Amino acid sequence: MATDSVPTAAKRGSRQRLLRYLLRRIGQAAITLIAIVVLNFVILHLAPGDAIDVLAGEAGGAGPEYLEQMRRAYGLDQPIYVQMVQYLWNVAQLNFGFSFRNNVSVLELIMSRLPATLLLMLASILISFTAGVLLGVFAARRVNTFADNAVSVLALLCYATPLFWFGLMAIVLFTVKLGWLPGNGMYTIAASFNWFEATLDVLRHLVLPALSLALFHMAVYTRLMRASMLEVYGLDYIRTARAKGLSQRRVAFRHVLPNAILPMVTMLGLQIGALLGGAVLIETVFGWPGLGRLAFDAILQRDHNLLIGILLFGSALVIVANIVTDLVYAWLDPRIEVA
Amino acid sequence: MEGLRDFWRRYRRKTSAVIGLALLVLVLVVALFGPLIVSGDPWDMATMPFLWPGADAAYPLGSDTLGRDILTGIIHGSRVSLLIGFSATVAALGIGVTVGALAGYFRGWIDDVLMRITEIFQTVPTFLLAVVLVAIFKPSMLTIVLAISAVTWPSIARLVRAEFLSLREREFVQSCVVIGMGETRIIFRQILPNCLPPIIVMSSVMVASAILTESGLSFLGLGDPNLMSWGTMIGIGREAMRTAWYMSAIPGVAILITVLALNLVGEGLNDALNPRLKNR
Amino acid sequence: MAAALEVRNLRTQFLGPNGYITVVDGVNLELAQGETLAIVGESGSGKSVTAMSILRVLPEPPARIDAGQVLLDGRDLLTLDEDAMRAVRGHQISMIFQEPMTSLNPVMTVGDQIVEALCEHRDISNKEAFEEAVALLERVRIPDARRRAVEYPHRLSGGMRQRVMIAMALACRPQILIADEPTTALDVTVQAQILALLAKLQSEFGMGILLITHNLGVVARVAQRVIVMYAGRVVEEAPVGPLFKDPLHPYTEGLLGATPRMHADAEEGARQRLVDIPGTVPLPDKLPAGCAFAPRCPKAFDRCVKERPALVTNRDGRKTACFLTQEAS
Repeated sequence: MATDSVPTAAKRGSRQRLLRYLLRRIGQAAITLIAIVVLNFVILHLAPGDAIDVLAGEAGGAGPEYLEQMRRAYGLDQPIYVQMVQYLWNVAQLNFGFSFRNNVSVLELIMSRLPATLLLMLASILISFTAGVLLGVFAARRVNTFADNAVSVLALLCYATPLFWFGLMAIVLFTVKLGWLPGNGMYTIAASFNWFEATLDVLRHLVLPALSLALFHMAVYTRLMRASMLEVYGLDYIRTARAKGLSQRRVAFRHVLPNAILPMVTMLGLQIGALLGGAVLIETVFGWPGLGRLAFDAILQRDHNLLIGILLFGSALVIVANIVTDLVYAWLDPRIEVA
Repeated sequence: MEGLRDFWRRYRRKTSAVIGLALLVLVLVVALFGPLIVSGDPWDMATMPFLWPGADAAYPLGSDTLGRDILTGIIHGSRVSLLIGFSATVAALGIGVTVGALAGYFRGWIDDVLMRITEIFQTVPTFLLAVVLVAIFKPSMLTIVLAISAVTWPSIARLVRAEFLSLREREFVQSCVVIGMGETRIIFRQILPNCLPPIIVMSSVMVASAILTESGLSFLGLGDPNLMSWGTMIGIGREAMRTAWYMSAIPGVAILITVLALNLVGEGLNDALNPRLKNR
Repeated sequence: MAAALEVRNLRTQFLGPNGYITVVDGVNLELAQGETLAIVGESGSGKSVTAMSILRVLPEPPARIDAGQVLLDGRDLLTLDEDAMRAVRGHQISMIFQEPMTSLNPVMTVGDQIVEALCEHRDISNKEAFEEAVALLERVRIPDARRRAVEYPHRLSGGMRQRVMIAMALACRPQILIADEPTTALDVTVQAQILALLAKLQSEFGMGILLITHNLGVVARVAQRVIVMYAGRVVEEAPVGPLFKDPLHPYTEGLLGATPRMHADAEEGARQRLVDIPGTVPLPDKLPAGCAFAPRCPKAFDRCVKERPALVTNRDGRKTACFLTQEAS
């Protein structure tokens, strides 16, 4: 409604500013990423044994010739700073090394597992954000009533529940006892479905892990949203809206909510890293074939190279998510004119 | 003394805070005195395996897949959880307060460098980093504590830095500068005591999250192999989840209660220490 | 002139730590179409609470309107349910506020905020409402109104935002406009423009204006009658001319300064002298037993401390709540 006459020159100007802002953010992100790679390098060198022992895992799996070859590739006979440059150069080429256990390159492994994790993460972001916003709004509109207190107690409980334990208990209840939902894997094995049934099948498998992963952040969002709503309720423009004769409902949803949701968006960016960590546990519990499950397998197999690759990749994911969050925030809040 | 009484009066106004404190005291009592009552190694086979809770009065919480007494495990686990939770928080406080104080007090390039480092640690997915650290340095009490503190110090550092930045400009600090008081003395004797309340509040929440992190690590098999921790017990119970879900359920409830208690205490402390709400 | 708005014995209270505290006590006022009535007083005198009680936009709880009537064309607004009251707000009675910088929703375009007011009370399509919003913005002298309508408030200056507030308040042609310190936050030249705009719109729309202010210069410029409030009560009520020429209540006198002036520099003079009265308004939960102004009053005597003077009409038809003027007459 009513957005017809914005002059195109101003639009073009803001697009240029946006581009400049993006470039600057990407530059900063690149520096952070390099620093994280250096951090990984430091971790590898602090570890007992030389880096190749750590990378390959001490329990065998790679032949001694291969180890020798890797030592040369990583330049372990070189001075330490040369090694670091070499390591950075490898990572810059997306060369995270090779996983002997799985006999594929780390990058390939990560890429094959990425879609499952992204699906799980998106689903749980969607659940936690939506539920958190709804519960927060619900509680804020009934502040200090029984319903408000009930929401607070629920949030406190979710806040204190180990999510992997919740996942296990959900399997016991919904899979073992009630038989409603599958509790293992991502699809029914050896079933012949058409595309619709297959999608439905994946969604059914998705429910419990996504819910378990979402629980903690649902609590975070609920509390944040409630506090944020209450703060906005006290602001002058809400009084203006009420003086216009708007209904409570319209004031809450059209005026309070769009302003109260802004800090939630910032939290969304911070959530990604925690979700990746949570995914290790949840995917392990539910046998979900994603990055987290891959990380667990890497722990079991002492495939440290793979583990570090996942960590690096996860960090990059967080950085990208943060940039996206900033852009979304700038888009939602007209006061921020990216300069 | 008067201040302490005043503090307690404010703290007890919130029912949930008192409940939290009671639960925390309960957990502490179990951790301190429990081993006196339940003797025996939590790893020893005590009775027949798969004994359900309540089936045998001698083993009220039942036994696990190898006949280990779950009550003994819970009691030992409480020691492990609290010990790791508190040590990791103390270690994180050490790093975080130092970094935050230096950055906030000296500002300029020191601040820039330290905050950049903090940002890096905040970007890396924390639990994943803890997993990598423990896996590479071999699971033990020490590596777990260090790993958890390595991923939690940034939030303390940011908090302390913000407090220092604002307190530094205040008159009492400025007058200390004017009379030529040493910087170390100003930092430790003047500014730091004034930012204790938010640090205390954050610490109780950090202990809670450290306990959660430890349980996750030991569930993944990255716990100290010599210690029976609640996460380890959940991991053991998982193998028999379909038939004997109580094995996982019981230690999970223990974690839930402990973490809930710490969070409630943290909220209570926040309300009691927050001067803005003092007179309401 | 028949009163369009009549307030009788209004009493508003706030919930404090030890029960309810009366903040506005026994306020009476009448406002006719086309008339401007000013309520003046220092901050804490209860004038804003009176205004917000009329529109019932105080948060309840902690606030509650304990007693009284607010009659709009003879209908008591205090007895209306929330839906009926909503139909009054922004439609028959509108309000503009002190802080134009914070009184507009930052994430909604100014056009949409006006459209919202129109659509709430009138059966009108969005497109028509937008056209009308643009027309309203033009009426409040916002240059390039069509372009401004699709901008967000942060792009506008304080004066422009107050114009938007006025446009929004007048969108549904209300009978009554309550203006709570409409110019206080603006700089002096902008203040004059906004006041002139309000006066002009009043002559066009014919609404009654209830002007809440602590600035006597503003009162002198636009109001016909004045109510002076102190500590939640009316202490004097008079037409503007007589009040400035001959203030009866010592508090009014104090507000005006020793030599009341009505002309160009009255505004400045009043602003300076307002702070010349020693002391501050007592807190509503610590009101003295007698006249609330007695502790600060240079003319107070024994009776003032013991007894509270009622608001009494004297022979000239002026009202004061002061033993001095009542004994004199």
